Amino acid sequence: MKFRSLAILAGVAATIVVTADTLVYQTLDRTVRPFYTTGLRTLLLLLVAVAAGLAANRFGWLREYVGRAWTCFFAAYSFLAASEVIRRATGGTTLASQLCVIAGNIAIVIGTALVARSFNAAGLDALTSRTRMVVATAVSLLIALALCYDAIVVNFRATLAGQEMASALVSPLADVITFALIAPLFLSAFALRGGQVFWIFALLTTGTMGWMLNQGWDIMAPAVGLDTEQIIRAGRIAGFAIACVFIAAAAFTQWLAARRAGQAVAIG
Amino acid sequence: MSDVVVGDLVAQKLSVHLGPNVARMAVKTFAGKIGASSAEITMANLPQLIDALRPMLVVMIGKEPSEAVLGEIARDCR
Repeated sequence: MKFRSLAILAGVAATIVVTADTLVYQTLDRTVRPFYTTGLRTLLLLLVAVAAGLAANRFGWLREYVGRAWTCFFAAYSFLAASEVIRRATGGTTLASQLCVIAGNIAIVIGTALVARSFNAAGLDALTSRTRMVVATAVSLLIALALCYDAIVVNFRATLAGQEMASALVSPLADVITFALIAPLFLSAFALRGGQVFWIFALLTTGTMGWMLNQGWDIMAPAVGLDTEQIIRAGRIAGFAIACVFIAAAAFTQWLAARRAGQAVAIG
Repeated sequence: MSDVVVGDLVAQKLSVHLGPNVARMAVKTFAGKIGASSAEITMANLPQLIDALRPMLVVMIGKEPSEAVLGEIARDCR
């Protein structure tokens, strides 16, 4: 299978998930909907965890640089899936689910940072102009702050009022860092165009954009007059599905590329 | 094989994974680290270039794929 086909397949899969979800959700009873949403989110998170685990395993987990990034993604999405299950099982936010969210978010930041600074780690940092990188990162940081500002303020106030644990702030703050890292991810993907590694960076960039949609839809939708409960939920789920499907596709692409190279060595 | 072609052939092999732009820049950068330009890569200093490229490639595509690519470069440049 070509990597371009994998990317197209990821796009088709995300579209099918979003369309099916929109159709199914309407037909469900109100009491069932929370369980359905938890189930769908958990499945999508587990999809990434399995794909990232495959890739991490191929690179000896923490032994290699590439493996370290995928190990972080494996841990992150496993923790996030666990937090979904714990929250539904206990009927609310508990210390255990909060700890899973914190661990998951920290692991996503580390994993994304490892991929984003691959060029530096490889000694190829001269490839992208420093000015372009600084400007692009500043722009993506501003966008990240705009998307996460509300969540940070709401959680900060809730923490001060004693309604939320300070850990509630970790998730939006981690999102700001991850979203800001989309600039080096995008510039690296752009530099790598024409090569196999391009697809891994491009899929990860698209996945991160999915998280941006998931986080920012609450602000974006009302701004363009789309503020019904259904549309807000559909947009958030669309972002969630795009993020999970594309990051899983990135992990699978990484695994497939390494497997093919391994087979070439065996044949040679 | 003409010595002049060696640098280009290395870039061509790397471009499958890294794309033509990064591959060309990588050859230029790491040839510089062994004290040569891309055009000065010959069969004599190719092993040094391969050794210089290895850590970069391990970071970008992993150890096993790197060995496959570098092995192919060494084989095809002979």
